Amino acid sequence: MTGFCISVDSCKSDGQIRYEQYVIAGKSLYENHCANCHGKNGEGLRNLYPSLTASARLNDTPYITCLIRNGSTGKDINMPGNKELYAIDIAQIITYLNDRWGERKMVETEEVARVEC
Amino acid sequence: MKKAPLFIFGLFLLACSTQHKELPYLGRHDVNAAGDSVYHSIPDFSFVNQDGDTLTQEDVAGKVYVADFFFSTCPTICPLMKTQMLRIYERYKDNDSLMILSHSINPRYDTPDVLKQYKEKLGVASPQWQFLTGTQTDIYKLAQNSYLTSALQDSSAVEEGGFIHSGAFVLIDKDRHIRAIYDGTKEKEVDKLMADIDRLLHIR
Repeated sequence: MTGFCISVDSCKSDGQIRYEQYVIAGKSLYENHCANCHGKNGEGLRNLYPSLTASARLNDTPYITCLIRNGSTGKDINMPGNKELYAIDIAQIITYLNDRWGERKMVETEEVARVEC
Repeated sequence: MKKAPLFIFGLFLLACSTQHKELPYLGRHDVNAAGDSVYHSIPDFSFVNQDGDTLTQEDVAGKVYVADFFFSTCPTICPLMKTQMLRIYERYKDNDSLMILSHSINPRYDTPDVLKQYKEKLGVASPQWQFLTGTQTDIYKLAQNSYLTSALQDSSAVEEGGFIHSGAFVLIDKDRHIRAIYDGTKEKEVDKLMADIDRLLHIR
């Protein structure tokens, strides 16, 4: 009986486990690279740094990938890039962002690696 | 006899009030010819603020103020410092005995226009909080020699945005003496700073 319980418990699919790994790793990356400006809870800082909690573009993976990778020096958005991050880091961050403030969806490392910018 | 408890209570109050130690005077102490202590004080200065106006020691004369060093594009500790400085600003924004002077350590980029935008985006409308720029040499000298904190340009500090500076908030009294220095990135330190401002302004 005990063996049955354990096997039921461990019945999370590989995809589910990997999703959770991405969210956990993404949280720690977010706190190191993003939270100073955007806040631990994505609240931003007044009009200086935007809040992420109601961002309409969180699920636009190519857009977010380029923003995190290269930053932006536009008139409205002035954000430093994060050239040191690998595709897997960015995929984990975007997965975490969507898990908290968007729709639950796995952002694959390959998807991020394919984005050209 | 019935008055005894009241008397004891009074003594207790007296004891409490003397427990409030005075804030120390930081920096070098000298002794003048008359034998009195001369405390380190902030020398005259002149910088340009977010409106392109000149700001000098005259503008803070007779006021308590908090000084810090930052730059508008700093991705590391500045947002944390500004979050904390906003707490101070919100708390004292109707009390013009208190001012805040934020000096840019990247004055080449942080022109008055950039600082004006920065101030507006932070939602700071009052002249009590001034954002200052000037020559890099003047600002670095002021930071290190006058405010006893550090500000350096260092191109190897890539993550910090090319500059090294402390996250210090420096508390200056009405007579231009430094009374305390706090870590401006920590909420608890800033709680203490606000309590100390209250003491200097005699707010209970």
